[in-house]
Amino acid sequence: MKLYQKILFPVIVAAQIAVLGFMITKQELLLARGTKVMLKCQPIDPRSLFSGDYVVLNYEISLIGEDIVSKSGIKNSGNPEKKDIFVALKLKPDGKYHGAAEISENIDELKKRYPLIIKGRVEYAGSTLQIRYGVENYFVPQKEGKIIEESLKDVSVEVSISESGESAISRLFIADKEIKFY
Amino acid sequence: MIKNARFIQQLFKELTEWVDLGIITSDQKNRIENFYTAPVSPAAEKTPEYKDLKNEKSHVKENINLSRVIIGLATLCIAAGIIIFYASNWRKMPPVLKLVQVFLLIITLYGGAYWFLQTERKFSLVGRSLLLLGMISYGTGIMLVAQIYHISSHPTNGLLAWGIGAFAISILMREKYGIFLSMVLFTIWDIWEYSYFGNPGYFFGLPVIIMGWISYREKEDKGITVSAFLLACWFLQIAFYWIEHYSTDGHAGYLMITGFIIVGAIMQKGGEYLNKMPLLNHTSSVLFFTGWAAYTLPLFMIGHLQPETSWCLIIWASAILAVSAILHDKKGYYISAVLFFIWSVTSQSPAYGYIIPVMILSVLFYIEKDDTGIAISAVSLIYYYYIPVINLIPDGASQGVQSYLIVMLQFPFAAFLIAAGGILSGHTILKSAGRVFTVAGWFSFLIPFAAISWPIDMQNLPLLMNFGAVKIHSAGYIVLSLASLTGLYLLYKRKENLKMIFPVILFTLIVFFLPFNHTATRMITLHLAAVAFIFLFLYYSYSIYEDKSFERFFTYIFSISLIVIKGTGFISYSEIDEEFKLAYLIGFILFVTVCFLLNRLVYEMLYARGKDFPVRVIDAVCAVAVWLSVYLASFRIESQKSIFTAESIVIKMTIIFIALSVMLYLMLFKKVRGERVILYLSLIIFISSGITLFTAGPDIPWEIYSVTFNLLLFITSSVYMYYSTVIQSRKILNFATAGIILHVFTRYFDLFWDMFSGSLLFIITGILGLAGGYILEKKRKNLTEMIKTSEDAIENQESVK
Repeated sequence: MKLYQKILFPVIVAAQIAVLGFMITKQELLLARGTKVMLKCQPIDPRSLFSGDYVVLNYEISLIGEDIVSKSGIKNSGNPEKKDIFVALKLKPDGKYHGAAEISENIDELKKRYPLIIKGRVEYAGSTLQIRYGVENYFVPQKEGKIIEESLKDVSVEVSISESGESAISRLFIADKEIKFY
Repeated sequence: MIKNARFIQQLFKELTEWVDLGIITSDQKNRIENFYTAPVSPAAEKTPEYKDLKNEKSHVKENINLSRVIIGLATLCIAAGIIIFYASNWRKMPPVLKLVQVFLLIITLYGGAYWFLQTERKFSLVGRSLLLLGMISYGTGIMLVAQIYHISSHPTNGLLAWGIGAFAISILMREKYGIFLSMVLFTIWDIWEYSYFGNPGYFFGLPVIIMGWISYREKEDKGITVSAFLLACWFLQIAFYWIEHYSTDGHAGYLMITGFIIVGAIMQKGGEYLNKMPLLNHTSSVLFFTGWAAYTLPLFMIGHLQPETSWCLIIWASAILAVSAILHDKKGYYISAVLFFIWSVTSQSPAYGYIIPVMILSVLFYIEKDDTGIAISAVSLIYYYYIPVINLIPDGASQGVQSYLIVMLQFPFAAFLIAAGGILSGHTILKSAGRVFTVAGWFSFLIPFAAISWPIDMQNLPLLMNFGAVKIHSAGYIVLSLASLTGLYLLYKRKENLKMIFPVILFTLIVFFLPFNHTATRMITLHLAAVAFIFLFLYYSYSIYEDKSFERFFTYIFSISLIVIKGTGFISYSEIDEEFKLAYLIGFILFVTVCFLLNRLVYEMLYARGKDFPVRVIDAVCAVAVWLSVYLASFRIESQKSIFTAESIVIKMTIIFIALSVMLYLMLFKKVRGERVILYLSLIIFISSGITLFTAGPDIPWEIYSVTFNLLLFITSSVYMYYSTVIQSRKILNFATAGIILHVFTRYFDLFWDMFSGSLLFIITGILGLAGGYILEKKRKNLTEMIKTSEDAIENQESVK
């Protein structure tokens, strides 16, 4: 090995470890400091549910209804597909779960009126919007996704949301009972 | 001074390493190289020897280094093991422990690599393998974090981080396989980003350029070609992104068109220039093709420009045409031909007028006696045929009617083109057009067989025979058929052989009067015709046409694509319709069996007439097809429905194909000389899958199917192994071995192992392999010496003989 290789090798390895460390820290901070919100899962076609080793979760807020979309005027500024979007959350009348209140492409505008905002990405834009938040996959040990698949109507998820709208799954519940795989 | 070539080659390799290690300077290295390469005396006969050495590098048989193979395989095993272990998400281990473990793994592997590469150069192979495993574990770490925190937003970021990390350390250590690994990662990242997130992927070019530069410095032929190819893809991707986002009617659009043409021209010139350089000739072809692609890029912009542009196009094209006709410049003809074509595509009303420039150009090309131009005119004419066919379809007709009419009209069109091609190919000037017609005709004939030989419901489609709503198309069908009959008559007068053309025209005429919207009629006609044509084409293309004729080539295209298309169809149906999974797979086996038997029959018949026939081509395709179906049927398949509950057409088709096979078996067993083993094998597969087909039902446990097909699979592979020794074919032996390995591996995972124990199996095997490789590597010198002396001994013996 040449001298520069001797020096740079550990540097690059350290950088790789730092990347992992950064990923972990980011998620841990998000989980620790973010606001906890309960989201209700929607039953979806059970066939496409369990693929490989993660369960695909679909939330009530994954589909933004026509009224909210038209109110936001988001479609006036071109096709929103594949773009980031912010969704303001408010507690639903049941006092437990959160639902979508308003959407916008600008987080500051929503911040004035709502304390809780989650960031997502528009998957499909018709009269309604299909949105992905990055909390749709729940990884499970091999062959153990069935439990969630079978009782999907009762699944809800506690999500941690940061100031800037980033989100992460913190806990998963089936019929209000926390499910732990470890 | 010139010693044995292998020694010098080895020495040059070592020299580079010595320079890297600082044992000698590069100046000393050059002097040593010169010492060995420069001729000592002006004795000229010695110089070519070294030149040969460089040129024929690939001809020198490389010693197979056993330790390298073992260490390579072991690395692969451990890598697969590590990935599968964490993917299995083993629940007995808490996430924190897994994270700690991954960190330790990364540090240990990289640390080991660092130590091995630094201190003991002799064992650098183990060091390199640890380095690669380090990269894999880093990637696994990223995936593990995503798994533990359920991160699913923007999964490409993880890939990118992995790619950059692996790339950096590979570049630093000049680790070839690491660079390839990171290239694969970058490529997946890029495709994913572009297609899903709509990101133009500007960054992708950077690592590719670095890789190209390093490969060039290290004189790595493959690396250079791969990076050239990836760069070409990158360029096209960005071009498409720009077309998608920035091409508007007006200056921006026109500038972009000009830009693409200029870039294309530069690439073509660059390709020509690079062609002279020895390491870059593949790169030059890549550049050349990309240049052509750049020329065609404006075509994709058309959709983004306004329709009014089409008038500008006509004027532009006509102006170029007029000027070049006056100046007798052929290039201008080509350009205007392309522009007229673009106009016809973009024009909002049907471009019936397109025929005028096509005819004018044809005449001009005819006067110039320009082969390429006449071929272009022929292609334009074929394209023109579709303009009325598509535009005259009655308004309000559904998508189904549209595609049905286009497909059905392929029959007379194909007959017409084949006949016309036959007539024109005798003409001195128009022969290139004849060639285009022949090729296009035969391919058109293939289309209906691929498109409508499926049990799709076409009950509501109009019948050509009734005239009715599709009068014009029915008339067109008749006119084209009559024209092809006229062509047939002309060919007959010229005493040409009509045995391949006549059946096509005859079948075209019959099809007109058949109720093709009736599923059973259509399916039975097309399938029987398909196998009949496979037989006819195989037989006549080898008994009439001479070597390397297009007809022979097409015969293979026709038969192989029918097998592939039917196979894809059957296998996809078997995936969708799980209750009839086995029935579909066996259906495909029946179809392939018939093809295989026909191929064998042709072989026997031609042999009797003293003609040679390459029976192994279709044999091989059938073998792969059958192996694949049996393999797919050998998995755990549950709750099958009985074939007797299926639609009647399925049963009819099954019976017809079984009858056909039985008939062919009887004929073949009478005729066949030698090589019966393959026939027996096909008979075993035919009978046992036939029995399974009829006995399968809801009450049969899955083990029965599984045992049957696993046994069949094993028999198939073994027979091929045996067969390979009979006909002395290494290729078949390799395929059969690969088949058995794949079979055993899938069974292990399928029936006995879960992912967790599978990963342990891999890791343990890999570690044992690495240790073995390490010991072997230590003894490498002795080993290579031994191999070398034994090889020399063999060489000596041979030279004595």
